[in-house]
Amino acid sequence: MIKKRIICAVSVLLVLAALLWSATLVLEPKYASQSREGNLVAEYYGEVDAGNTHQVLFVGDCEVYESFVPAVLWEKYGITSYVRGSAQQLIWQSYYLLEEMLKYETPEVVVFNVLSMKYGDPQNEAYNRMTLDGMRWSKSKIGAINASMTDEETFASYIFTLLRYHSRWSELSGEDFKYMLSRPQVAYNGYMIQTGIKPMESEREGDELFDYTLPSVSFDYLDKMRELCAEKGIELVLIKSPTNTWKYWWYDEWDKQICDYAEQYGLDYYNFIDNEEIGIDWSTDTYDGGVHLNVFGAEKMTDHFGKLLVKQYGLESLKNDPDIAKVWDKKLSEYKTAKQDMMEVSVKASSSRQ
Amino acid sequence: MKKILIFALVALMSMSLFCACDGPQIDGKLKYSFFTGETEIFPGDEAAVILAALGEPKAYDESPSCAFEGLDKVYTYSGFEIQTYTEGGKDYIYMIVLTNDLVKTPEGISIGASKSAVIEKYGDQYTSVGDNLQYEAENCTLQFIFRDGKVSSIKYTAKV
Repeated sequence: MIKKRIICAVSVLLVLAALLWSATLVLEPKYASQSREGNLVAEYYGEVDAGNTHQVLFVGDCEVYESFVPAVLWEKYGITSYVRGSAQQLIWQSYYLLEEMLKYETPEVVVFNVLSMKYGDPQNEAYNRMTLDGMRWSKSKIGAINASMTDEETFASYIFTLLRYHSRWSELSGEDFKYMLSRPQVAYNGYMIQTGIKPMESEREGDELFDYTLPSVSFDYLDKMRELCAEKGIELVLIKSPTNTWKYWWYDEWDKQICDYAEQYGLDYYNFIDNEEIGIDWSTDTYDGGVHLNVFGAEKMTDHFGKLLVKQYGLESLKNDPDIAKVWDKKLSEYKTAKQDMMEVSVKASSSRQ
Repeated sequence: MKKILIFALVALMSMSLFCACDGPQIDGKLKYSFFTGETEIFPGDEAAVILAALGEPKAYDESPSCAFEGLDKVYTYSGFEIQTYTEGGKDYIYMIVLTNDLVKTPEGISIGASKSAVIEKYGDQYTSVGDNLQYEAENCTLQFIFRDGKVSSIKYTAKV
């Protein structure tokens, strides 16, 4: 009798758990047709599971996942890389993502884009979710959540995401069921293709600031990133991507602080704003008026950076390794096909508007 | 009776003076706003009605966010700018920036004012970085940025 009751209770609990799990799978946002950047962080695990490692890892905000094309680094220089960027990725998130990645692999170079140094506090729950929900559970994810939560957020809602997304039932669409078990691929080794063209026309600069001091917490995390790389013999390279528009303005005062830091610790820092050698044409190489590069700008930026990686850091081409070449030639082919497909869509959309 | 009336009047005037030192109070809470013509603008307010009242701006700029729909917009008028952000499909006033001495705050401070004039009008409950002063209200922060000892920029930023 007791045994029967136990079996019955366990069965009820299992059914309940299955229902909750199913509800979670349906209700979590899929980032399929909107805010696709929400899938970037999780896509890295495809590389991990396939056993792929990289010579270069990029971390940072949208300025990395819209500026560097791993497929092009491979095509032109035989360099393997991954861009672990996400929308408004804050520096503590970059640190914990890097910490996590270095458990799986040891690259020769880590590249960090410094724009996020301007943020000293957690910013926005929706952006937090786009970076943190995609991480697998680990000490790094726990650290990233604790460092990122805004006042309104709870740790429990990251464990039981149903607590956060239960109200999405009224906005469910076919995508929520279609991508319940596996998300759509949105990027190519972390690079998000954008083929649209919207010229940069505004000459507006950033507003005067009350305080130009970069937050000390940003330097604390930069220290941690630097120490983590040093422990593993990895070269940490700081960059500022070439984009510079009024809302995401990079101030000279900030630049000086990064230059001073780089000099103090013997790091290389490259500010690509106004760097004419890259060859960016702001009338054709941006899809949103200069805020981000499109694929044409990103390919130029990548080509320029590839030269630096070879010249300054001695990265060697891996094209002679047949196993690696097989994997990466496939990636390159997929990237080219996707780019071509998207360009055709852009052309059709553009001609239908005219 | 006359003495009582005079006393009451003096008391009332004294109270109003103290209120003035504490800044503009709405429902007992300090809230800063900016007046232009007949239009009063509170940072954080819905933008549509205000923008309609202000008419055609001299210039307009917009910027997308990294991943979400909606734009951050800047409307430039004579002497000031208004920045808006989008939430739930509606635009709200995020920032008001006074850019020249054609306009002034309701408390009477304009570009070019001295630090002592700002403190005289807004009081000494500020935080500062260098010469710059920042006042906190329920609805916004109000910043006075100085260059060469004079106010070079005045910014109202909504608390969002």
